[in-house]
Amino acid sequence: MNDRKLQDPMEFFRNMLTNFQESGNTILGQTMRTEEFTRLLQGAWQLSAFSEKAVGAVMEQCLAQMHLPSRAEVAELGARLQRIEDMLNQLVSERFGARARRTGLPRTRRPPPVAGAERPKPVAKKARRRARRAAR
Amino acid sequence: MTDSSSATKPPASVGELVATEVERAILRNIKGLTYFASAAPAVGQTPKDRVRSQGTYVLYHYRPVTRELYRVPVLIVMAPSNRGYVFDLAPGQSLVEFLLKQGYDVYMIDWNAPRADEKSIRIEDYVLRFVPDAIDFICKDTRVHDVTVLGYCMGGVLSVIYAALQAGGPLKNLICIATPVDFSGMTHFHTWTDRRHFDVDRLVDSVGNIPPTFLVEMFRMIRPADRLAMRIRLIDNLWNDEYVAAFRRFDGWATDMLPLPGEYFRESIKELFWEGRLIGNTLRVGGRRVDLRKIKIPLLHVIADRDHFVPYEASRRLVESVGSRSKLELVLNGGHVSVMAGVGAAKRVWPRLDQWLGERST
Repeated sequence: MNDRKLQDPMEFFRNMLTNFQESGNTILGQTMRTEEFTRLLQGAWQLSAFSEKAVGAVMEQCLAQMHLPSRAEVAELGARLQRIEDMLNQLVSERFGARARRTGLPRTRRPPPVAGAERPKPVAKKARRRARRAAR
Repeated sequence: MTDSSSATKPPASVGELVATEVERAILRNIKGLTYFASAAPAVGQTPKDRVRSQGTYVLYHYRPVTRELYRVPVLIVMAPSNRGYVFDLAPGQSLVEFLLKQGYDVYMIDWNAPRADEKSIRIEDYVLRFVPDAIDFICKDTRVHDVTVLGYCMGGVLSVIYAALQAGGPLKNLICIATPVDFSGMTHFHTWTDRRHFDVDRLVDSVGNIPPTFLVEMFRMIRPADRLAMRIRLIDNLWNDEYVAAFRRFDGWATDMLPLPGEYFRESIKELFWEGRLIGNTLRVGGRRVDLRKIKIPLLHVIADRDHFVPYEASRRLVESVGSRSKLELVLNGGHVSVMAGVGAAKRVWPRLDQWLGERST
């Protein structure tokens, strides 16, 4: 296995990529957890949300001028149709669904006896340590 | 489709190595074109019936495949921000298919994108309306009076809240996967939603439902270098059909997020992230206090050791906080999604889940 790794010319590149990914995530992750970045991020989110709202309002006015329904009106219409469809589904399901799907399969299954099988181990110390490291 | 079987074989000599690399390079070019031209691989193919549906809430029943079932049905509760097909990505890579083959009767609460008029949906609606509706339906449908609930991520949080409020109710077992309870442990999210800077009221009041792009970007920022590295790895593995298909299924799911109802988002940020009310047993839902110590049913919590979204610090206190006598925490190798839906999960995780659940499902 080791021999094959040594022979593989792409292995060096793949290791480099993994290292880049890990160090990139660590460095950028630390930067992104700073207060300055958080403030910047909030600004960007708010700007994005408000610009979306402003564009929406302008579009709505334009569509009204052209006697076309706005996105909200179409969505409302869609929602009404969806509610009707939901009610129909519910009625059909209650009326026919259970009967059609009821298979009459016996609910008597038991877990297969596994002699000497390993029981689930409580939290492995190594795994817990690994998880703590990842959290840091 | 070009045969890539020889490209997958480990080379034995330098000559073969060169030949393999050349072949892979050719295949990368050919398959690189088909990658863009072909449709994404199908997901969620296990046969199922939509049995309940009400706006954002959908309940599916998967058709049994065995001739004998365990007595207790299983209800999977998906996180409201994600699609449930992550547990049914492809034959052989599907937790749902695995459970069906083991003889479980499987239901799943999945979510549609909430409509504009559903922006007022709150935690209360999920926990006191949708989950109880699903459980009532299952009990009537199966004529069984108890159900196992399996919740993933925030679906686990909703399941935990439900279990705490319905102590003595129709729950037989609770399985949580990568479920946060101490939200201060989600360091990235906690920092970005710091109340000193993050005006959640302004955001929710201006957009209504939180758009999925906002959530996708938030998740991406936790591992900022991953996206580029994964793209490069994809190019490197374009010759490998299996890798490409798995990548497309996972990548497609990760970006196929749902909008979140505005009020649910506002409540989660304020009550869970800022005030830490869930772990503090001070959360109130529908006028009732959520006390985790009231959960007495058997609990299994599966945690991924490389989970960057819900780190161990955020999830570790669940098991110690509940009042169950039978409780088990499994810290297993994997990431937030791969621990339950990855290729390795079929070998590492599902058999242990089955072993724990089987003896508690009769």
